[in-house]
Amino acid sequence: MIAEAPAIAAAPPREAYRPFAAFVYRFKQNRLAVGGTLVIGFFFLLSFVFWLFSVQGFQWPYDPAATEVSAQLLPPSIEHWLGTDQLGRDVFSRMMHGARVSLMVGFVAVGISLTIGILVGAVAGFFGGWVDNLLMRFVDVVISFPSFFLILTVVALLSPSFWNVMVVIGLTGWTGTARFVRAEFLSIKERDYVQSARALGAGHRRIIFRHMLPNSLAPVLVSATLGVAGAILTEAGLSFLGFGVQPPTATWGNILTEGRLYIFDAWWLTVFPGLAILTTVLAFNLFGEGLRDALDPRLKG
Amino acid sequence: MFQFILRRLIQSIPVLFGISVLSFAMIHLAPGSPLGVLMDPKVPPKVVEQWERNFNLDKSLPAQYGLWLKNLATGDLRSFKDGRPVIDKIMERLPATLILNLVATIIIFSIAIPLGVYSATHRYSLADHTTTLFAFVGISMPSFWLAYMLILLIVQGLGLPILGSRTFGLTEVGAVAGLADRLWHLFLPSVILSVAGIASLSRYMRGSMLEVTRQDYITTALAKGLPDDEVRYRHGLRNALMPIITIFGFLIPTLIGGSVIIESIFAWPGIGRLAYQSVLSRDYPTIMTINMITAILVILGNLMADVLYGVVDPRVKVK
Repeated sequence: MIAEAPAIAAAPPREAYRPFAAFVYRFKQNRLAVGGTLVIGFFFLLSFVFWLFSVQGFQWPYDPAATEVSAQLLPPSIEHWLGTDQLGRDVFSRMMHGARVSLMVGFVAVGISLTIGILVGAVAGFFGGWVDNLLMRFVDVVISFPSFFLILTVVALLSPSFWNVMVVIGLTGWTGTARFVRAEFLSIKERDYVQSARALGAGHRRIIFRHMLPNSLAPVLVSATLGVAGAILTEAGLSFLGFGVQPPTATWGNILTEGRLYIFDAWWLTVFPGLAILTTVLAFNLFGEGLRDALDPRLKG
Repeated sequence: MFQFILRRLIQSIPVLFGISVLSFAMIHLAPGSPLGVLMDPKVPPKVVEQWERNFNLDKSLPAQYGLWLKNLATGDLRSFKDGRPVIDKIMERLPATLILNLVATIIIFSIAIPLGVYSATHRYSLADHTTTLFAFVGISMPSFWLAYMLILLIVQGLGLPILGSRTFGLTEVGAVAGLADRLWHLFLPSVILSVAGIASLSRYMRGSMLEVTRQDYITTALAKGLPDDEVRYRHGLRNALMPIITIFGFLIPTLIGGSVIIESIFAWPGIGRLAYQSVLSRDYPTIMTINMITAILVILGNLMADVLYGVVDPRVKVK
């Protein structure tokens, strides 16, 4: 042992392996993912700026709630970049404020489902046996509900408020994460490093949170970003059926939904919010995919 | 195998029980009465009480649950809305939804698998990049938006009727034209319903195929000097297809959720639209029963996936 030590010291100094820098390097290689990140950043910036506007009472270019009888269903023009709706409200202003709602729905819902999913998956995968069996049967129950119909029913019965929509989407979306984490834990559990940690006397909590969770985080992060995308789509779908975040609060989903009644007369009411949803969801999906490739190069497609 | 299926069916009983309790609790604990929707404030309280008695709404929740279960078993469960047996209402709607979803599933698998395989075998080619981009757009698009965009194009551009399961008023035509009309009405909703599925399944297939390519047995087969195509399809594809079977189970809830929206847009007389209408009118017995039926479909789908998995992969012991 002692005799070996000088040999190691004598070895030429190696450049330290910095995992984060390596991750950033790999992520940057993926142009689609970088594009997605920029789009997400852009929408974040927009919704922050327009949130500041609304807090300051500064309405630009128009008050999103101001109706104007003489300006109903105007096509896009210099004054109204994306046209006006059936009440003469400026679609561009409404969409800018809607960005904030869509992003919030996505993040809060995913925050809720991640928390539940990680806990359930980790406990089930780590302890196995009857705990695993019980939790997974519960997952079976939740996963066997066609989630969209479940969300629709609950939101409709609870009355569709902003918070209800987010919480219900979050409460139904955790099963995927739970299964990922569990599967990951099951495969990691028997790995040498976990066995050695156990042999060294590490407790359950330490093994789960210090050794196993960081090593199974890649699929969780990926499913979280994809979850944000899914939650935004779900809110849009709920809006479409009349149970999303309710008007007059502008969301991309309800602008689109109100607009579909005028689809043959005012295409801009349907096309633009749809494109906004598509772009945002696409950005999150590309970001998530890039994240996965960069976090775990073995999975790179 | 038979034993396995039997055991799985028995195991699914508690799951179904859990689903029924959970959905019963959620629906009944939500604020508001189902009578509120159809009630006129001028209706005297006596009549309201009478209605509550008729619908068993005056009983305790566990008692209501028991009655629901009993009525469901005897086929005597009646809709709050029109008093018709729920089973009848659902059964007349179920075939339309099953056809729609079956066609969508066939479209998904027959397009996504070749697409994914081609993408993986021609990795980083133009075709691969294009497929990838289309897959991402397909996953990211709200299906109802796509539906409206297509409606805008088809109705405005081509003037073709698309709503319903057949063209309204079209009766005096031959069997062939009638069938063609029905197929056309089936075409658009099932295509839209399958877009997201094609997109995600082709990605899975591509990933699975690439994963298999890295396996030692592929290297071995190539090292032995077997022709590329034989290795790719006989050794690679067969193994790459296995994880795809599990996707089948995941697909069903997504499809059913999608049908709620698609059926509402296309006025498709299926169970998704019935579900939406029941939610609107707070028709508890119908909502509950649809919940149960879709849950049973999901469980059967998963069971089928597991059985198929056991068939194609002998390493997975069916136990």
